[in-house]
Amino acid sequence: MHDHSIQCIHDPLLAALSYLVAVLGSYTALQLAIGIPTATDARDRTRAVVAAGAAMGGAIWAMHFIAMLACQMDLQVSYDVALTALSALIGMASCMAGLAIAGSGVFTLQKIGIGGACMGLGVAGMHYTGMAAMRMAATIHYDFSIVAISVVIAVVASAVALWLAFNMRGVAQMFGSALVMGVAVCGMHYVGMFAASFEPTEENPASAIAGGIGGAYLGATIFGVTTVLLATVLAISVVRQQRRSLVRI
Amino acid sequence: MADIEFRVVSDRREGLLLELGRLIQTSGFNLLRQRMARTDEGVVLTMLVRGPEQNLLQLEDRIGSHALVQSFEAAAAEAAAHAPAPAAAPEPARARPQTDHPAEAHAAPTAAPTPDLVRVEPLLASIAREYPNIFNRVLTFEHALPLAQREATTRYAGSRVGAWIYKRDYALGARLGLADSIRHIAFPAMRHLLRGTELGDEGLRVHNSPFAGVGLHRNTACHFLRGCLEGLLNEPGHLGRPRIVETQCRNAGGDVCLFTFAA
Repeated sequence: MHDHSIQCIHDPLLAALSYLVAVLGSYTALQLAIGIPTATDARDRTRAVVAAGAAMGGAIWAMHFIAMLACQMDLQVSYDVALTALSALIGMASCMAGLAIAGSGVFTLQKIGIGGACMGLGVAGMHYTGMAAMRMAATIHYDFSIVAISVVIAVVASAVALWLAFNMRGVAQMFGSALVMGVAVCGMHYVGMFAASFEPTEENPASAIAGGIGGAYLGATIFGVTTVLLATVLAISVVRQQRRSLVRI
Repeated sequence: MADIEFRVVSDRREGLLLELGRLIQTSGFNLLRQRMARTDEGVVLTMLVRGPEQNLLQLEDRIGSHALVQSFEAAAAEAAAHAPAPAAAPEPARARPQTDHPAEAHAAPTAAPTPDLVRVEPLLASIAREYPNIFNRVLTFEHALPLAQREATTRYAGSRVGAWIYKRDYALGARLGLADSIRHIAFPAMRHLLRGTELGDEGLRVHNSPFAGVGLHRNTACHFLRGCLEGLLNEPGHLGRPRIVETQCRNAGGDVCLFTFAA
């Protein structure tokens, strides 16, 4: 880090909220994902994979941008719309791939490894694309050894979360997997942020942020994503309860 | 070679023949003819199949555990020719629910006792209401059965209960291999029923089986628990038919009731 780099101080409340959102989203996604192996046909399976991957990708995205709002810098920042949308798509697509692999056929550690790699790389891809979407009068420099650590954290913790979700049953399956996946997402993000240093440029701050979306719009989008995740959790819980009571002996 | 007629009831028409046709083929059977009709029961698919008799139990297991199948009946083709028309309601005692145990309910060539399916149904309804406090009811039920029918009937009831527990509480998640299925499904489900259950290297150890020492059997007595384990492990449908044996029983002088598993 250079002496004149801009410091990012995280608001602890927002940082805690980012973990909560990551756990909530992971819970939603993994509860949807464990329905993948029991899908009766290709359409059901595709539906489960898409829903779970979208929930996971949405959660990673929401977590990232809450954490970015938590990052207080003495610098005006906006976000490029196209890259921000692309970052969400990367997260969703890689999570769909990872969950589809992990949930197919008979459980093996190899599948969990590949699925975890897909999801971990998706978390990292989402993060670094989201970082590239930042518009500001500064450039970002990375310490690549720390970047590598952040990717390893994402991959390993994702694999553990998938193992818990698919291999276990009961409380460890429901909550353990979500808590660990929350660690994967947040661990990757905050280590990734530690790898970054922001060097100010001579650019005019107003022109640097022109055309990007600001914190207010981002906050509203995050609120929308989080509300959808919460509603999905509630819906899953009600539907599962109903199905359970309808199982005939 | 055996010719068998299956009568399958499902709530979905789409993909039913395709899915079951695939099961029939992978079990080494040929589908000779089929017909499908929508009835008050649901979609009824009748299939005449031909194939090696030794694969029949496996095929019945696969059909019985398929997600699209609500219930099914199987009969030798000659017998089926004399059976009532498909539209007629099945005789209750012969109704084959989804979780049925083929080895017992199928018209076996041996003289082994068959379970009393008619008496089991009311018991199962009570168990569903009272789960997990079910053993007083099961013991009362077993006491009321003729000695020759106790093992087959309670084992069958146990397999239905095990399959039901699996579908309620353990169906979501990956398809596990046998060792993981024992560790993450059979063991916690059994521990929920009986706290004194442990999983060891040699198998599942039950310290407080309610079936031991109550005068129901002379030797091994925990046929309901064995059936339960069979239901829990057979219901997913991808493990084949793991062999579960009660190798030691407190009723026969053992320290614990020990269940061992083999693929």
